[in-house]
Amino acid sequence: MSVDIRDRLADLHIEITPETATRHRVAIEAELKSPSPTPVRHLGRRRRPTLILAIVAVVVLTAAGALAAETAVHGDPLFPVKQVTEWARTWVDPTVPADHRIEELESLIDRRANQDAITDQLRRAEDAVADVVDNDAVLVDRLNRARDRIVDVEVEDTPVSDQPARDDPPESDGSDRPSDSTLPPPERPSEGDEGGEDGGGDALDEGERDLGFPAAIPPLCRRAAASIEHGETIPRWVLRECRDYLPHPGDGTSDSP
Amino acid sequence: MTKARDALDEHVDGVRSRSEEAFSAVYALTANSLASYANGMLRDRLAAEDTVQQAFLELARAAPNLRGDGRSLRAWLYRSVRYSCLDEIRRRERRPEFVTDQVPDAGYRDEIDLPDPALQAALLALSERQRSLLVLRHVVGLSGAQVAKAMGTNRTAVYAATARAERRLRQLLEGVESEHVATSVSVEREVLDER
Repeated sequence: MSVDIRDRLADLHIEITPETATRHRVAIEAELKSPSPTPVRHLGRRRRPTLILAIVAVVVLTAAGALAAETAVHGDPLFPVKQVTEWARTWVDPTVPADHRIEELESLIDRRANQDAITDQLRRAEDAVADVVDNDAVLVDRLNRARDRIVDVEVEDTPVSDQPARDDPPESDGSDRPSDSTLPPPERPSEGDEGGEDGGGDALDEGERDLGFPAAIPPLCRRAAASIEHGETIPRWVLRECRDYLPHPGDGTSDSP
Repeated sequence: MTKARDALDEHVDGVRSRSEEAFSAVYALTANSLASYANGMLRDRLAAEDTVQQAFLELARAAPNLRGDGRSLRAWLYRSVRYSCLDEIRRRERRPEFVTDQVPDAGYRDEIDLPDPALQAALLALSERQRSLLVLRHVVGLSGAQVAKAMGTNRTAVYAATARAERRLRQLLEGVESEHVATSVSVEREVLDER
């Protein structure tokens, strides 16, 4: 039976007629006379693995770039990549930009970044949270916690030796920030409040007098005062944090602690 | 162990340099086999001849980049015909044959008359790969190694797959022929009843 099938298959062999063969030869000769061979489909097939590899490489590199950009902060080279992925993700979750801005703020605080950079980032985070339609409570809470950390870090990072005594003239920190001399020193507490049984604060030496009283003006508040002098607006939380050091609006005097 | 020489070996350099003589010689050596392969795949002689011409035109364009010896050239041609056949099969699936009441002229009928219609019907019922294997092995008469090279597989796989394809073809053929016999008997009975 098997031999029978093979014989029957062998009978299917055909031969091209001489006319057809002549037609084919003419077409082939014409093709051979054409000057420049054009790319053919078979070459495309052979190159298919290369094409697939190239596509895979592009996808992997894009994914790696997007992943690496996740931790980028404003000013990093990968930040534009992050913005693009963020734009795409915003369609699914509108809180993504605010979430990212707060993450970036936290990252800057962890790195003990430049105060200006932190302040700028804080403004961006506030704007992004304000843009969230429902004003997400979780985001607001995270933002407030980040603000608290900024103040904590400022206090931690201020070196004791740099803290000027209240009676000393404030020193410049060497940067191009406005001079601190524009800020009025906080008033001393009254002697009665100090509970001076021995006749008042005069009996204390300078070191003792500074105990229990804010000896230095935090840099944040110094800059806030400078900003106010220049007519710039400052965030409400800064006003709250620095209420002891900033002049009241209107009377130009500062609060007593 | 040295490889057996292929009849195309001596024409490979000529083909690479796009020589008309080399192309003519390769055409003479392979065109009928390529046409038989395509005819077995498509069950359409005219389309089969077109695929052969298409394969040689593509070879003329790709010749400068051709690598290997005569076997590679032969395998290249069979692969080219196979891809053209697959394209044609897909095209037919997308666009079914146009049905008409008009009867073609006698010359055309002679052109498309096919031998052993039962066998060809059974062949068409096989998968494309099984059909390719059987046609290349038994219609074209390629060796296992040549079929393996043309199909992009190894010789052992070719032998195993060919045996399976033969079994399947035998089953299909028995079904087609018994159906054909049953139809013939019923037609004869109807004729006798009418008388």
